[in-house]
Amino acid sequence: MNQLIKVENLQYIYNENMANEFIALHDLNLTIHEGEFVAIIGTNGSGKSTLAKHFNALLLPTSGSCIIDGIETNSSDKLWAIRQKVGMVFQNPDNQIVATLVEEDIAFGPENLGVPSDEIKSRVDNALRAVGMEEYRKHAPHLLSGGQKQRVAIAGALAMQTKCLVLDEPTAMLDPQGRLEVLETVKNLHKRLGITIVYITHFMEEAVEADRVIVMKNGSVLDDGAPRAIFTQVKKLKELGLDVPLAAQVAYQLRKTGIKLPADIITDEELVVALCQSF
Amino acid sequence: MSIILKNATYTYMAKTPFERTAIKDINLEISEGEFVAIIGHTGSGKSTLVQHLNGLLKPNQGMVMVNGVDLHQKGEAAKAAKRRVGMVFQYPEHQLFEETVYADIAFGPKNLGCPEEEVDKRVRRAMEFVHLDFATYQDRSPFQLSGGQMRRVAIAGVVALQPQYLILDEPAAGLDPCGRDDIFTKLIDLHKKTETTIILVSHNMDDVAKMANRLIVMHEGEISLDGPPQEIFKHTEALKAAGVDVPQVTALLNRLKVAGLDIDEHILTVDDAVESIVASLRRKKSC
Ligand SMILES: Nc1ncnc2c1ncn2[C@@H]1O[C@H](COP(=O)(O)OP(=O)(O)OP(=O)(O)O)[C@@H](O)[C@H]1O
Ligand SMILES: Nc1ncnc2c1ncn2[C@@H]1O[C@H](COP(=O)(O)OP(=O)(O)OP(=O)(O)O)[C@@H](O)[C@H]1O
Ligand SMILES: [Mg+2]
Ligand SMILES: [Mg+2]
Repeated sequence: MNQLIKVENLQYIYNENMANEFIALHDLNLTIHEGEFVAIIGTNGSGKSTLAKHFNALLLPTSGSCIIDGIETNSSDKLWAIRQKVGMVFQNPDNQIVATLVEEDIAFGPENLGVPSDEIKSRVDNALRAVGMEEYRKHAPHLLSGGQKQRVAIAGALAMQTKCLVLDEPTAMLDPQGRLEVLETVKNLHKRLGITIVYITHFMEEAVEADRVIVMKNGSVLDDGAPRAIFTQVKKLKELGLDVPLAAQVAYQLRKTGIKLPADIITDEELVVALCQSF
Repeated sequence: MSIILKNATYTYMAKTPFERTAIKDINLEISEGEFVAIIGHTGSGKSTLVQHLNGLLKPNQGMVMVNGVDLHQKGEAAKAAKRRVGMVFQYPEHQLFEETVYADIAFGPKNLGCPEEEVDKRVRRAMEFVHLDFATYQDRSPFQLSGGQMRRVAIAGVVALQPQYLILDEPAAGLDPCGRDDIFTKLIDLHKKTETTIILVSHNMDDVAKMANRLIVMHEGEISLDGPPQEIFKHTEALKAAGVDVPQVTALLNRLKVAGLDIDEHILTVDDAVESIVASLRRKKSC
């Protein structure tokens, strides 16, 4: 598989050489392949957003390198090329809206690139379809719900025809329904269009949906593996200030009382099935 | 003493094509010492409602009273009444403005006229409240922090005011799991020790169900349910209509019940859930 994101010995220092200099990323190494769905978890300040901003060259390495689909991010003339490969979606749905109609909002990026207008139209159509928002194309984005706004923001990134989407806590401000909408949309884009997903979240039950979970701590990668490998380490994650999905927690506590349950339960479904077999 | 909303209605962008009535004829009294959680679907009017409680928004119709004083009357009494109410906004970066974390948190108490020593004490206490190490963060710029760290500063700034009524709009959004639990534990503690009235807006049933002694469910600008958590969760239909989920624990227990375990599905905490599952498995084994 093609290495879409390759980070080597990446160090990032905020306010370098000033009194308030701060090393946010330490000598970080990481490879993400095309088509992966990667979740990043970690406590507040562990460096998740700083790392994510390197993926579309919002930040450039202080030392080491970040290579996106073969292009090193530190040459500023490559900025546009990189932004067309990696789209970003942030936490606050309101800050990402630029136009008064949904379709204009989505067309904004490609228009800025000088894409011809019939191509823009087809890109907007495709992007709206991909996030399930076709019927809202003539709506005012600021009157949509949070979940819908985030789907519009995702469509905006898709219209740039990015191979990769980086979502930095896209559901933090949403209600449970909106969270579900966004997560389902993302899973769909990954499955149907093969888009590479980097998904930062504090919700462990969202991270479980990824193929791979990266755990960050103090600017480094502490752990990296399949959700089942990560989230069955209940004690370790708690000590880190993180959490596990509810089912993993309940299974862990049940095992402690002596009930025999498989050690690798991480979803409600698995817990229900395992408990049914135990009586 | 209490906060009272009387027939309060608020419309955004009235008389434009974007007109939107966000809360409709709300009547509500929150008494001193309560721990109230307001939940509801996105756009149901939660933030609009709480922004009336500190006078930030003025109802188009109706009135707001804090400790018997109309917040929108002229004069000192209304100003003093507004100062009784502290509010952490949904998007905390909107409320940070000083050059250092210390100055930002100190701003409120200074403004209240607290002497230097008292200000310092309150800043330290507030930083401890939100788990920000004093030495590490006091001189940092609040704008050069991670998302979760910023939210902590915003919460600290309001906690340092020691308001009689403390309103927090989605305080846990963006906090890591440990930070979430920690803030909630601290709020419960604060409520117990100081009798501060707490009004918490949240999307997350799991967070609020465990701690509030009163839940208010908003639906399309109106209050659809109002009562103790255990009562509220019995109204499955009304909750569904309001687009509010039962807590995850409750949902899991419901599934187990359907699968044949004899379980009390009104349980709200993980520990109780585990206990109930164990008990029900024992009963199964013994028969
Ligand atoms: N603009 C900045 N200037 C200086 N330091 C910064 C700046 N932005 C972030 N930092 C620091 O860098 C570290 C990493 O921040 P980052 O935003 O990457 O964390 P995060 O993992 O995304 O946290 P959160 O979960 O709170 O969003 C933090 O300790 C933070 O204080
Ligand atoms: N500044 C504004 N201008 C116009 N309409 C607004 C404004 N703020 C809110 N609204 C609208 O008023 C309604 C209620 O919004 P409010 O922010 O109170 O909801 P909420 O329950 O806090 O939602 P959320 O869960 O997303 O925070 C929504 O339909 C919203 O779109
Ligand atoms: Mg972040
Ligand atoms: Mg709100």
